[in-house]
Amino acid sequence: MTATIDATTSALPESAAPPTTTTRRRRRMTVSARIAAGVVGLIVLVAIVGPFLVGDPNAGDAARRLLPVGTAGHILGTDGQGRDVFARIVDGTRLSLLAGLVPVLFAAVVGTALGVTAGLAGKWGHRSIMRTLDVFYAFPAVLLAIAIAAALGSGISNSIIALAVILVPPVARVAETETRRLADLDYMDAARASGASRLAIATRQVLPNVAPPVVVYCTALIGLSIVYAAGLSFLGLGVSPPTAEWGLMVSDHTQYIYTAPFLAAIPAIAILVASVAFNVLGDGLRDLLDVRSEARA
Amino acid sequence: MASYVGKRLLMAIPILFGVSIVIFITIKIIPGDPVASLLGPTGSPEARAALTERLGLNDPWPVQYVKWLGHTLTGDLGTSIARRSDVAPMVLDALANTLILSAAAAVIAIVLGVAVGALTALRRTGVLARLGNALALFSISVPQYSIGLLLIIYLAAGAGLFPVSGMYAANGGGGFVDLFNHLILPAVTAALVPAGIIARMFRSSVLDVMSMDFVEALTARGLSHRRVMLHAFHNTVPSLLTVAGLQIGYLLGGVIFVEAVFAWPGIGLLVYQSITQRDLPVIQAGVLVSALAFVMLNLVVDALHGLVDPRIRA
Amino acid sequence: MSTSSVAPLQVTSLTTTFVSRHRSVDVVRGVSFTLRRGETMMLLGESGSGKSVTARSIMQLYGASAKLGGSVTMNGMELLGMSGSELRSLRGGQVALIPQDPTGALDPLRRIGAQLVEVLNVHGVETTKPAARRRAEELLAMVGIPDPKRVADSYPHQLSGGMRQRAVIAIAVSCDPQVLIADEPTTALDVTVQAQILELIVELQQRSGTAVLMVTHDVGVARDFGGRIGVMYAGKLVEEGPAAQVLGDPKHPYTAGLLAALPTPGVERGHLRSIVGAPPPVGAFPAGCAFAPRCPQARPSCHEQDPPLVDVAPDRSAACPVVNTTVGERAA
Repeated sequence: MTATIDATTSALPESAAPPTTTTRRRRRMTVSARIAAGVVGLIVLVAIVGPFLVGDPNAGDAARRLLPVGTAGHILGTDGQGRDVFARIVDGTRLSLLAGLVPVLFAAVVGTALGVTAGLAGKWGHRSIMRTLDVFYAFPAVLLAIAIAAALGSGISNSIIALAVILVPPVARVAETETRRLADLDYMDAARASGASRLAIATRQVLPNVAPPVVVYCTALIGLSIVYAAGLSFLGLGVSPPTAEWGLMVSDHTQYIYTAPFLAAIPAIAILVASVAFNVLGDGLRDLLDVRSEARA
Repeated sequence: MASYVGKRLLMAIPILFGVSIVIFITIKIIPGDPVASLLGPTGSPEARAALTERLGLNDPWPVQYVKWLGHTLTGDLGTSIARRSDVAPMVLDALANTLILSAAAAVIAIVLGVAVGALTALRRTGVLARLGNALALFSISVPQYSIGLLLIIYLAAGAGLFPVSGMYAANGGGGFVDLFNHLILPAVTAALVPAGIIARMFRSSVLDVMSMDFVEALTARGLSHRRVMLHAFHNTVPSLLTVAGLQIGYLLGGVIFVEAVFAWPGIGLLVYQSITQRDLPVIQAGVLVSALAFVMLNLVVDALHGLVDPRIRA
Repeated sequence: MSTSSVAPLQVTSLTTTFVSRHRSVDVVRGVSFTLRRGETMMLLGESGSGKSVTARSIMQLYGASAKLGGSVTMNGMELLGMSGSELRSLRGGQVALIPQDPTGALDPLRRIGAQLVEVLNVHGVETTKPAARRRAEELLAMVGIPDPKRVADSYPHQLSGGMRQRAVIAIAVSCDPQVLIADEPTTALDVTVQAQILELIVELQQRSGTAVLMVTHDVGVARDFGGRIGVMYAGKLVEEGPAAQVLGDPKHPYTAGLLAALPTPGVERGHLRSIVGAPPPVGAFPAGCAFAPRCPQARPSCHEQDPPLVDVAPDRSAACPVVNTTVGERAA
């Protein structure tokens, strides 16, 4: 038998010592992530109160069509039917955000439930759930969403359902991976040995630990989902005209691409800003929740 | 190696079976009466009953599924409602065009992604690295249809550099150069998002490999920096393949927007046009062959993966 | 010390400072020792004591991320400040490394044989492929691998941990190094394999007269291996001398504390003594003697002045002013 120093005194001082100032600084959000959080907050605020602050987004004046950006009274100009683009962007925030957010919320709940169940189930339960989800990975995701939305018919609720279906499998994979990792840890054995029921283990031991990675993943998914939702509208599978919604506005403005090129860019920029904000926030949350080891020194 | 590929092929069968079930379900969840949509409002009750019987819609679902699967396997993908012609040749032509576009986009995405990812990983500080990171983040967040539109506005319509739409010029052309000119803008547009994702993944995989002990161990063996980097790059290939494989799937889906914007005659444009016409057989066939192509491509990627990485062949 | 200038390895006042954009951290703070031909030197210490960094600094494996000071000579030739190509022929040639974890030390995507052939080619030991291949198999046989042909054609993941470490050792000794640096070569291995690997290193050393610098945190390994021992604490050598003497009659309170922390047969667990407190984190070494805050015999002056390493007996040195009075008796 050989005895080791590590066993009796201490392990690496870097890991054994309580969090130093450097590790604490690591655990704060980066500047860009905090800006992104601010932008996300602003978008949510606009989505809630915006429609009350601007005039009727569908009020158009045929005499004042395609006014350029910066026109007095129409800060972002007017579209092909003389409607105020700023009012439509603001009014469309609510729908555009909901169309991206709701599928992710649905996928977060259903995906986590499926993933945790698969992770805790026996061999066959695990297999049947995960192999079923694999089928969805065989589809190019956007095309599957389009097929489902097309089958259900246009309308925002159908677009939400279609996106939710394609977002469930990846969330379930994240939750399953995390659950299996936890299941290998000793304290789960301890919980099982102490006679806790499967449901109790799932809700008290697993869920609190699975939640952080799922939340991080879903935050980034919102960015993607907003782009997809607007894309479905762009293809004519989301809301119907004349409703103000960003994707629909892009498609609507495309016909004036030669006369008023900037017009099509405005709703696209709105989509981009929202999507970037959620992606950066997702990155920031990931860095915040991941405990990364210091570089070896 | 052969047994590894064989195993992969066998595993694809249940996946394809599942794919067919999902497609079948999307057919069955369509609200409304397919008979009515085929016959139009003028169909007599007798004609309706006859068509219902002919389409097998009185059979129970499992029977309908088996019949549908039989048709599909023999290459009968149904009849287009809008065009009143066989779906199969239409979809296969479109698939070929989509694969041309996707292949071009995949090449651009991998080259760009690897370049930006390597740059941001190896030079972690500095303006260029920050720019690369920002670009990668930007490109994964961007809606493809609007980037496509902007390219049209400034490079095609504005500067007159490239053709705006289609695959070949209507008069003249038709050769490879013509195809290439038409291909550039849509391929770049389609490549942007995958390039961003590949760049981010490749960056972390380079960082992983560079922090692995063997880089130090190889240096200690007296290998030159260039040789060590060759070993390191070799070790990023397996994860690069995995990401690239996933991104091909993304491309096959994402091209629908690109094809719609650039009027590229592929599966995406076909599906897009069929949406407005509610031509469901075409939509389903389009999704089915895309999924098939995706599964096949994944098999190729898996085989390459096994070729590169001895650890997963076991 | 007339022979020291031609010693295979002489380290004098070596300092290693890691520099990043925000701060610089001294990890090795003036380490000196001499390794003679065929001799073994043990660097014994806890994680963070700087023992691994000392070993790696000799091969200059940290590149631009670390600033090195002092002097490292091999056969009288200065290594610090060498050009890149000089360093390359040195590494793997005259001085070779056996890293801690054999899994990480091998390229997972290349066959063992190919990795050996590459090193032989790079160092010009064997210039043709077939000759290098034959030599590779000889080397694998030499490190006690029973079927060298099969192992040469294997990928690292197809071998057991012990076999992998043997392959790593084969690569390390392939170019007949004068100095072999072994960084905890058995830590990642099963207990049953550990002794075999240590025996192999001793055997290779006796056959070729290679000097071995072994880094370990394991007092047991140090005791079994013999040779000389350098005990490191907070980036400095605190005691140095022949293994049997240092472990039998420690002259520094830290060494004494280490030995007292070992479970001894016949002593009940309750009597197990260990050092109070934890070693200072890298970059936050206290002023004065770094061990003073944990030292049972520390005097007030210990907290102010860092005692130098001085000769305390023939062939032995220690860095402690209270050394001759009590330490030896306490540990006895």
